[in-house]
Amino acid sequence: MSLLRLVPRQLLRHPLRTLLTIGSLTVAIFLLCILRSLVTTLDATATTARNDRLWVQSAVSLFVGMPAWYPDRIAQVDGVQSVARWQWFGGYYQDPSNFFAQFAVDPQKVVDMYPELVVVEGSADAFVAGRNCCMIGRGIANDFGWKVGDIAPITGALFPHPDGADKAWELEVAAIYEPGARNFDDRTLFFHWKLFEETLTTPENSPGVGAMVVRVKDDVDPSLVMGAVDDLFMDGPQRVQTTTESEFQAQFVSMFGNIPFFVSAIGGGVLAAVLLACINTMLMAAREQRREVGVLKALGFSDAKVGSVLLMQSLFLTLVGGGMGMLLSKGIEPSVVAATSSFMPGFLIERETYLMAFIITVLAGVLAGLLPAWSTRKLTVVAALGARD
Amino acid sequence: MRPGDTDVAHEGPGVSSRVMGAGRSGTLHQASPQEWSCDGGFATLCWALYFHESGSQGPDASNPETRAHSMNEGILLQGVTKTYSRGGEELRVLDNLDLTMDEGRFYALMGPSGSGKTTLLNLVGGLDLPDSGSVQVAGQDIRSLRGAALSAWRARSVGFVFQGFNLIPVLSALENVALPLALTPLSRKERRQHALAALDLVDLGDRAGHRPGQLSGGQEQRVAIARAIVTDPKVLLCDEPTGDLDRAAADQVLALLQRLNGEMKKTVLMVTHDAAAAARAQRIVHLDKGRLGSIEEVQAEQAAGAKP
Ligand SMILES: Nc1ncnc2c1ncn2[C@@H]1O[C@H](COP(=O)(O)OP(=O)(O)O)[C@@H](O)[C@H]1O
Ligand SMILES: [Mg+2]
Repeated sequence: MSLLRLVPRQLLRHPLRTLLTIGSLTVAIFLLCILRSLVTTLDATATTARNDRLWVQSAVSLFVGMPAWYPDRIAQVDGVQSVARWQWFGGYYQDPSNFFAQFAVDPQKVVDMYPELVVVEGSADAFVAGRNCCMIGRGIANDFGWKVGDIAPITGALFPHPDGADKAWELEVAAIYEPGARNFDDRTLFFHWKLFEETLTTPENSPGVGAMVVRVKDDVDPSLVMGAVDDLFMDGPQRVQTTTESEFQAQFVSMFGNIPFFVSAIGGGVLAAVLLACINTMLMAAREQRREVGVLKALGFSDAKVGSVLLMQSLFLTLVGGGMGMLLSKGIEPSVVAATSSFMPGFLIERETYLMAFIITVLAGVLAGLLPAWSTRKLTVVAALGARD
Repeated sequence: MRPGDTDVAHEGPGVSSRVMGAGRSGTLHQASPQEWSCDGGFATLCWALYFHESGSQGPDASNPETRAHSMNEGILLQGVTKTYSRGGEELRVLDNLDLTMDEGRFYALMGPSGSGKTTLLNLVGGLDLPDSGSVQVAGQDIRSLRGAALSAWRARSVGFVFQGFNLIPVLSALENVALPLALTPLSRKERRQHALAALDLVDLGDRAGHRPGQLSGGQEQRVAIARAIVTDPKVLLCDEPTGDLDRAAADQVLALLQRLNGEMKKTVLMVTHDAAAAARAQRIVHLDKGRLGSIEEVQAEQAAGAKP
């Protein structure tokens, strides 16, 4: 009979209290993992974006188009390797709630400029070759059950099909990609600019360009190119704003304002509250086990051994609770990815986050256990057994 | 382990006589072979085996000098004073107390409530230290021990039995009894065997898996006694062990204490309020306001007559 056997037995003495304490830790560690991951994901998005890709948009707003001849003009600027047109399509599949990002792009250029789009089914060449073809992320392929060769019918909310608002744009899935870096999500659809432009062009009207991505030549300073492009249209017809891709994405991040700070504050607050709950539980346990502490000491167990029974109870509580919290976050991660991909691609719970959660779990256990363990250390046998019974 | 097992069958009586040794000769090794089959006999057999295996842990065996040089293997108190301060007021609970108790005897300690009986017992058991004076138990001067050494000494040298039983409620009877063995180098299996043997000895072998809450008060106290003797201490300290028990259960417990004293030569010191309980002892020590009253020799017939 080792003293360790006392640990689970004492915890089972009040199953509800044990369960509630474990539960509160589970929730706290779960929240901590998710909240910290929101912060690290925003960070990573901004830092993994590259500086040799520049985004050009209208100086007025991201949602105002630029004249169709701008790309050719920009391509002539010194230091520019290539220019790809990007147009936010804003459609949906079957129902507006099936929302995901679609872009009309120059396919070859996007494939060349974005090595992080790793094609895992079909081929990039097939995507580039077919005017009606599209390339989709693994996430939407899974969501809608689309395979290579299937037709993806996308209803154009911003750009209704000219044959009728009910008619979907029919795009053939030619490639499925997975993101090779965290600045990209796996829930984007790319289709041909050519199809987009030709479908919408009427004798009176042709679509403008929403945004462009400029690939800077390898040995050229991106800031020089940025200045040159901005200067190009200083006097009209429409001024543009050029930023590096990292700044471009940071612009979305800054839309969240002080969120990282609040997120950390909330996480810290939740933890402190739960730590107090654990300490309270352990103090209650220590009070109940006072007499038993006295018995163990009378039998000749050292203060350290008797104290460790309490410490172990505390560690057991927090490790089970924390472990379940981590498992829960791991299990829920895919849902968070799906829910946040449109505005924050690449949600990921990093290994460091789990490590941090684990360390916090252990620290909470030690902290909550140390206090009662210490008080039993000072408790004399005579006092513990109630000298006057 | 069963009586028919080879080890036991071959060595049984031999082991017991060898183990019990010269100074410890009692009724045990005189038991005739047919007695081994009865419950108590089997238990004592296992017990004897345990003596044999773990004999090296005893303070007497590990330190022969102590034994050879010490004058008294019993309990020796000299000039013991203990004061408690309560609310700034000094309360002298034991006042320059001298008391000698012989090894292998059964003592009852009587006295009015608050006369310092529990305090005295705590000092003898090394649960508390006197302000002055010396306490010697089984040849060991307790005041020379501190902290871990005192705990270790307690673990092998004294067994405690309390009025309130003080079993651990979340452990089974067997686990409670095995608890003190966690401090010995015995293997898991050995600890279990010894604990079972101790439970058999108090006639509760069939309740090994029961939790204290599932036992009667008398049974709980017998489990507590099994726990107190499982490490084979020389001295048993009992603080009103029958205080919470009805007459019948109290009688069983007292008979058990008498048997441990008679067959296993335990020195027993039992605090009691109850004159009938005290009459089961060999000597009655009266304590009054921290001072020694008298030591009364119990008439042999009286003690024998009290036996069931
Ligand atoms: N830890 C303590 N602090 C203060 N006073 C105590 C303490 N323990 C016992 N006493 C006092 O010492 C006296 C003797 O107590 P105790 O030894 O328990 O007596 P008994 O067991 O004979 O009833 C009592 O008056 C009691 O109130
Ligand atoms: Mg008392």
